Amino acid sequence: MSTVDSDQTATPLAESNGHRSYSSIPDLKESKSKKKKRTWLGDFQQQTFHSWRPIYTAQTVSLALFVFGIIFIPVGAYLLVLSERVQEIQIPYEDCSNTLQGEDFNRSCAEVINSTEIALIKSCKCRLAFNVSQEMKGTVYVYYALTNFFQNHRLYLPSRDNSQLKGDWGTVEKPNNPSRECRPYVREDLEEGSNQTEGRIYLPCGAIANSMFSDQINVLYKQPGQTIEVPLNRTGISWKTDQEHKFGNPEWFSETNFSDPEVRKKFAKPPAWRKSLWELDPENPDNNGMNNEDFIVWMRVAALPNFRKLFRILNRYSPERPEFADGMPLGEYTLEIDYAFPVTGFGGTKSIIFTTQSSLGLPNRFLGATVPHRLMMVERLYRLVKLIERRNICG
Amino acid sequence: MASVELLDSGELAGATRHTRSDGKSRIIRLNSQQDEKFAGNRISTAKYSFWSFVPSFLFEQFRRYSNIFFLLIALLQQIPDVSPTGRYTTLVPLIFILAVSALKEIIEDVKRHTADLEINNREVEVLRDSYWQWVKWKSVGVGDFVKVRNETFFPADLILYSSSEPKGLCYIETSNLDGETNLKIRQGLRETSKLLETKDLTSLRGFMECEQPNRLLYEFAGRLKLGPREDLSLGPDQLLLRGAKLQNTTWIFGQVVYTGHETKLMKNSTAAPLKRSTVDKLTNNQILLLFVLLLVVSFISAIFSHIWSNSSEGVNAWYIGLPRIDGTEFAFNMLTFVILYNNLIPISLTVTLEVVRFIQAMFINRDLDMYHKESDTPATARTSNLNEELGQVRYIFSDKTGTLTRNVMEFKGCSVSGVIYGPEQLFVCHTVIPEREDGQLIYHAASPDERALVYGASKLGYVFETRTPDFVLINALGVEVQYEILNVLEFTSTRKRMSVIAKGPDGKIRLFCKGADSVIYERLAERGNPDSTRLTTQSHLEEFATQGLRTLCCAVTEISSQSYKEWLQIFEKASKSIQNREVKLEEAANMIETNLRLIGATAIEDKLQDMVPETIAALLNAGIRVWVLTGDKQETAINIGYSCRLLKQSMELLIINQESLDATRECILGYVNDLGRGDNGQVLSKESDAAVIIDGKTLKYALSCDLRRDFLDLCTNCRAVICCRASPIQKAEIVEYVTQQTGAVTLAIGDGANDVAMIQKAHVGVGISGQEGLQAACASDYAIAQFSYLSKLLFVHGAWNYDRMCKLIFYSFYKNICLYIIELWFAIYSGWSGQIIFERWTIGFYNMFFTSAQPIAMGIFERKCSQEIRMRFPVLYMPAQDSFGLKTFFYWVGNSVLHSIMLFWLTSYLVGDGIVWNSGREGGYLVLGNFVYTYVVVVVSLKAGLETKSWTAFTHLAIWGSVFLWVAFLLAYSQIYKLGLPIGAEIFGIGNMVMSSPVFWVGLFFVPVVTLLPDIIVKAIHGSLFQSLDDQLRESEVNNQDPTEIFNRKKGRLAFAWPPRSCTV
Repeated sequence: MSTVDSDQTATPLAESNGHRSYSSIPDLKESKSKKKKRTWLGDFQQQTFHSWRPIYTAQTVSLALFVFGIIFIPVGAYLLVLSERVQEIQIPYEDCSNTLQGEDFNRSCAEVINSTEIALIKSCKCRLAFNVSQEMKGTVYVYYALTNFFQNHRLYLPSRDNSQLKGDWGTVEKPNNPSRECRPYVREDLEEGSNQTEGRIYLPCGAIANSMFSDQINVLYKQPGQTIEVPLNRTGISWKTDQEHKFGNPEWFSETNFSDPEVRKKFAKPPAWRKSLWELDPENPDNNGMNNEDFIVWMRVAALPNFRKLFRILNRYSPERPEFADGMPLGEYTLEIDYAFPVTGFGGTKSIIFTTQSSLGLPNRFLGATVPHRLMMVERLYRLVKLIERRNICG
Repeated sequence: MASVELLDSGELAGATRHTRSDGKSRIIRLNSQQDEKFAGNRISTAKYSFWSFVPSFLFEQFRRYSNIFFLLIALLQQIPDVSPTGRYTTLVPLIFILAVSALKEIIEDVKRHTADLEINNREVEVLRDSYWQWVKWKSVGVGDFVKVRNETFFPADLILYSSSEPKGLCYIETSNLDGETNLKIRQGLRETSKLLETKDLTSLRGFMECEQPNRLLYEFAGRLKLGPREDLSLGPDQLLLRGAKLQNTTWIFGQVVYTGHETKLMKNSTAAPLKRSTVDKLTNNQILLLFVLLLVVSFISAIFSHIWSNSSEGVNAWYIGLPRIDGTEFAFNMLTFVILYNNLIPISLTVTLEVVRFIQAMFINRDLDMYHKESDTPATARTSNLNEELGQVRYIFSDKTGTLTRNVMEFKGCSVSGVIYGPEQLFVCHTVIPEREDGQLIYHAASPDERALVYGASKLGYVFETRTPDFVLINALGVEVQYEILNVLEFTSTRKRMSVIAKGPDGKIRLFCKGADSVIYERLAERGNPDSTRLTTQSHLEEFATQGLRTLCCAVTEISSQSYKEWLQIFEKASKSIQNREVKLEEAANMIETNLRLIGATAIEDKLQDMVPETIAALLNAGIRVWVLTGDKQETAINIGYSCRLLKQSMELLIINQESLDATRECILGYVNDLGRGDNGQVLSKESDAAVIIDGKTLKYALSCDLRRDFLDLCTNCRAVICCRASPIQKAEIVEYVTQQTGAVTLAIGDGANDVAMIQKAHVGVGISGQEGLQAACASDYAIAQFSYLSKLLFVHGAWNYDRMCKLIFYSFYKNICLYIIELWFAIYSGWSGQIIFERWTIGFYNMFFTSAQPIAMGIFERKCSQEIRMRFPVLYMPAQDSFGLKTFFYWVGNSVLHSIMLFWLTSYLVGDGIVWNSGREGGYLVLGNFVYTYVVVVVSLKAGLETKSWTAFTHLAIWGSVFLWVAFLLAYSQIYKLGLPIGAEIFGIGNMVMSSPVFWVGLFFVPVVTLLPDIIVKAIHGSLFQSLDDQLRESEVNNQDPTEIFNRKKGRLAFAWPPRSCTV
């Protein structure tokens, strides 16, 4: 593809047309001869630095790319295999129907919860059956996926208070004022232009926290004679760095504190929440409050409006449920959904996804299939160039 | 003048009143308090003082539109909720960039301050309280008597009173002022030269009247009134200028007339007009285009934002908590997007250019090929703004004497027809100073012509021995002859002659005159000059001229003592006048320089400088038009034209010598028609193998308003143009008109004071730092020692720098658009909200750290074709000259938009749902952002490499180093939050997440390769099918092939051009 510039020793050829020969200048001749030692500074100032001078021609370039392409075929094939191996089941459920007896029975849950104020959300439950027709081996990850949900909106994305999330709430007597960034979810009943220090502080504050995904989902596995709940881990779904450095509860935080009327006078749950921060996971104090992993996962905002977030991980090591030790066996499953999160208003969808994992993360056919293809295309370029060259020369 | 004459003896009080009222002259009292307060002798050449630095620096900086723009952006960011990038992300880079500029200014100014301090604290002996006391220069005041010793500089402009030498003579060297290294004589007045004792000076009473300070180095008028009757005239002969040095004289006494910034030296050191390169101007326009693009993109985004907010997606997005819509949000959104996209305008471009230009100028200064060993003169880039302009030159206007020629004169012959008066007149009529050194006479002269004449005469046996103020001693063939010099009527370029009035040993008074033939012939007497003498001399003159020799005519006339006395009165009156002395002296001289009798003519050869013919041939080869503008005779000029290969035998010479406007018009139109121009007034299209020769008188007509166009049309379509007998103003006019009419880049090169105007008018002014002093060099943009260095200056430095600058500027646009337009693509997916996809500080640091080295490396180290190839094939200079057009601009902009599209969407597909680890976790928006950012840094770095034709070690360092710097920064920055600081919360941990994703590493290879694939393919196709000449030469050099083959092969591959010719088999 190139050769290395071999000094400035280009041999001066016979001067036929009277051009001044560069090498006729004595100073340079001197510096050229080996007597005068070349120095770094001299080369710099005289601009005679050693240099590599690549040349791009159809031959060299297509050869190089062809080689890249050849190398990438096995890589691409491997990536494709990885990606093919991944199994995935996606169950959209935003339109599922209410199974609760009552006036709203069999109505679409989306309508049921839409018909009321967010703060007074009605309960709506639905069930969806699905089949695992091919055994899902290994660890199974459960995601919830949303579409048309702009977590990356400029007014939404910064609406959080990192110090509050870290546990800097102040004291019950004198709670810290949440960051302005949390607007419009800083305090209860905060009127535009009203005194900032009035009203109960939202805990957690901000639009991101307020809109946390709130559907409750259980997965049931139908076995002959009985239906068992698939054991799913609620922890291990968030990044360690987040857990350790970005989210935390204050020392004085405990469930009992929040039953204290003094505390309740100062702090309030976000308006869209059905339960308070200390009810996120009452069974596991390490996964409660700001440390709740569902919450941490939600707070790591997605880049694009169609996204999935890790929800649960299949617990293969549950002693009570040895059926799931190798993954999700074949059979009929049911999703039991406590439907609370409205998405249809803005044209969004919700679904639950069960997937095995490749070492690259999620399946990505794009990568394996495209790269070698692209690079091999170059070979055609070479033929094209040759064709044009031949035509030109004959002309 | 009348006013001055009113000042009679004893009217000191009146004089004072008078001076104050009209201010045209300055009154300096001797040994008493001055009436006026004059400027001190402290000088300051520094640009800033301690206190003025901040305001004047900021004022300078914010005269640039781009800085105002970024300041505005920084202010807009302070409006709450408008900025998508926080409040300080523009301010900090802006301050950083201003700080870099400030640092440069401070370093330069500290140098000036140090130099000033040294000068101001030099010491000189000043007469204070009747004693000589050592006083610092800065404390010297107007009216002080100073004593200056040998080999020291004068602290201010002084009037010479007396000296250690007889008759108040002294010798000075003025190389600091005008570059002339020869000694010059100054002489105190007869009346003051006797004041040799301190007490003589302290007892002086009276006053001195002189002009107000001005910048004319060779003019001075004043008078000294020492007693009631004595009214002595002072002229340039008595003036010792600051900057000059006393030589060969033990001491002098002088009185200070002008101090500090009022000295002639300081008055002359005003800054040359600021020139900006064509590339610079175009860049400004392109930045304006980018600004328009910014507004358009912002406007479109704001409209989409409005649409989105009012769609069901936006209205029902309950989770966002959108503020109430009150109608102002469109304007605010617009501001948000302007801030979001503001970096489309490259904030760091100006500072990058400054750095690069500084180093490019250093390359010129340090170039050994442009270093003249004999005179120890390196090339000097006096400005760095025009480095790239050197690569675009289309017209060169060259002076002849001293520029093409050496200005080292050699006496070649003389024609003495008619009465033999003997060549001794040569010895009288000049101002040469002999100096004996090691038994040999060395002649110092202000004019190299005179020196050549005197040397020539001494070869013939007439040796010029001694000069005193009153007489000259000549050894004529062994006999000593003494001529008493009565008056010298000096040479000026308007008079084109000089005369000396001398009394010979026979007691007769004669006027010897020498000068250009035209002026001498005008003044010949009707009688006493037989036609034969005139004609033979005339023919001899032409003969000399065709040999390329410089000619002078000599004439003499006898003056009766009566008429001499009468004339002397007029002359003395004229020489004492303070205003318009020049004109009056000229009039007086005119009166006596009549009735001349022609003696003959002399011929002096001015040899061509080394390599001039080769250089001119190379310049012509490079498609540059070379015009010679000279003051010489037509024949001399044509001859030089042939000998320097500007003219070829095959060329048709279009000579335009006419006496009137109409005749000139007819002549020019005739030639225009001959060259094939139709009557429809179309501009000539074809370059003709002809040369235009025109003389100064005709030029005056040709440059008149109605003829100018046709004349320049004619000239620009001929290969060569020679203007003879052109005055300095005409030279400048030609340059100006050609610049205006053709719009092409012009370069003027000259060495003398008469070239200054032309040098300042041309796009690029080049001064030859040589024989005729430094005035041209001081007014120039580049100073070189030899004309032949021009080829390296243009073909290597100019062509390289132009190529570098074009690439650097376009690349700067490219890299900025490539990263920042991604915000637009992201806007499509973020509800047109103006959210940034990258972390806010990484956006600002992009220009400062991760993509600053690549353009600098390009601007400094890129070498398209080697020096050798460029010097051997000047033809290479031509083709790349138009590479900085709008077409290329849009090509680059399109290229970067394409890259940004590929970078964004390829990465989006790659990242998919954002789950790129086997832990199944999801990364969030900054993972995508930093994937993209990293790939952008890699792609723009590689793009820099792809455009670099010559990779030095520094190029590697810049390209790979920048990528590593970014990766290191990302890893470090994403850990900062851990330290408890309230910064970097969003990017916390992202570095490790990105690096731990296998998809990232696959993409690191895949995304840049696919993104750059079109570029590589275009390069390959270009490199195979549509190679330009320089590409071919470069390739042959890299492959160690004989480059001349390319020219033989020309019919084969070189014939390809875009679009490819259709070919039938």
